[in-house]
Amino acid sequence: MPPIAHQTAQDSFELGGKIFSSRFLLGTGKFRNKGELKASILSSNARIVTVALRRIDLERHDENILEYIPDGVTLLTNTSGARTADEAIRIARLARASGQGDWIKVEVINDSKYLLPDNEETIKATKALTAEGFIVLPYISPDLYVARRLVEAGATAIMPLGSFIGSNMGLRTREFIQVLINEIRVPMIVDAGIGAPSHACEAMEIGAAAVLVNTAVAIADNPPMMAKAFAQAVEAGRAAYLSGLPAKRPQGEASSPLTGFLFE
Amino acid sequence: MSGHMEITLNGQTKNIPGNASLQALAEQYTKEPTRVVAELDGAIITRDAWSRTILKAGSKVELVSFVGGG
Repeated sequence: MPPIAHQTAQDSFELGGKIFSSRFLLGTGKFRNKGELKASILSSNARIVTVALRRIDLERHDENILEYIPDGVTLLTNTSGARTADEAIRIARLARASGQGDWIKVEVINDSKYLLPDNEETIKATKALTAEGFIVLPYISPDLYVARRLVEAGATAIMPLGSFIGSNMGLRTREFIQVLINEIRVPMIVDAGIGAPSHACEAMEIGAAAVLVNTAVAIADNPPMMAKAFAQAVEAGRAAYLSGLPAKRPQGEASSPLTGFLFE
Repeated sequence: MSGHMEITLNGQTKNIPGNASLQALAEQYTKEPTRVVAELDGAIITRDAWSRTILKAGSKVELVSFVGGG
C-alpha cells in the first residue's frame, strides 16, 4: 500500500506572497498583560497577528507591544477607529511609515452598538490602498456583491464576520460565508465573534482559509492554553475540509454490515 | 511668553519652546521615539526629517504607535 501523504505538508497557506505554517491568526487586544500575549502567540504558533495604531499616551510611557511579538510574525495593522474610508487610508499610511510593513486589515465602523463594518467605505478604502501598494484584507459583513467588488479592488483576502466583534456568539453568518467561499477566489479569513474552538473548527470545515480570534483568547483564564486549543481546532477543521466531509442525511444508515447476522 | 508657543499634540494644547523641532517634542513625550510615527498638520514626517522639522505656533502634531488590537 502506498504511504498516505501527510496532508499538512502539501497544504500551504499562501497570502500576500508569503507562505504561512498556521491558519490561526491572533488579535493582540484585551490581554491582561503582554507576557500572556507573547505566550499565546508561541503556544498557538500564530504567524500573523493584528495590531492597532493609537495616539501615544502623553502622561505615561506605554509598554511597546512590538517587543512582545516574536520575530518573523507578520503584523497586520487594523484601521480600527476609522469611521470613513479616508480615515482608514490615513491610518494605513501611518502604519506603513512606522516601517512595520504594509499589511492592512481595513476596518471601517460607524456603529458603536453592533460594531458592524461599513461595507461601502471599506470598498473605497481597499481600492485606494491597493493602488498604493498595500496588502489589503478588508473586514466585512458577508455579502456576495461586496466581496466581488473587493476582489476587483485588489483585496488579498476577505475577512467576513462570524458575528458581532467581541460577542463570542460563533458562526452566525455561516450560510453567507459559505456563499463567499464557494464563489470568491480570494481566501476567506473568518473574523469576529469566534468564541470557542468549535466555532473556529466549524469555519474551517466549511472551507474558510483561516480564522482570526482575539477576545476569546485574551479574556480566557489561561490565554496561552486557549490559543493552543483554537490552533488545534483550526487544524482539525482544515483537515476535515480537505478530507471531504460527508453529506448530511436526515435518517439512519448502519455503520456495521447488514449481512451475516447471528439470528438469520 | 516670549520664546514659547502653543501647539496641539494628540489633541491637547501644549506650551513648548519656540522653534522646537519635532525631534525634541517626540523625545519629550516618549522614551522610545523610534517606535513612534509622526504627523504634522496632516502630513506624515519621516523620522530622518524630524530634527530639521521646526514646529510653529498652532502646529498640529500627532504622535502614534502600535497597541494591541483585533
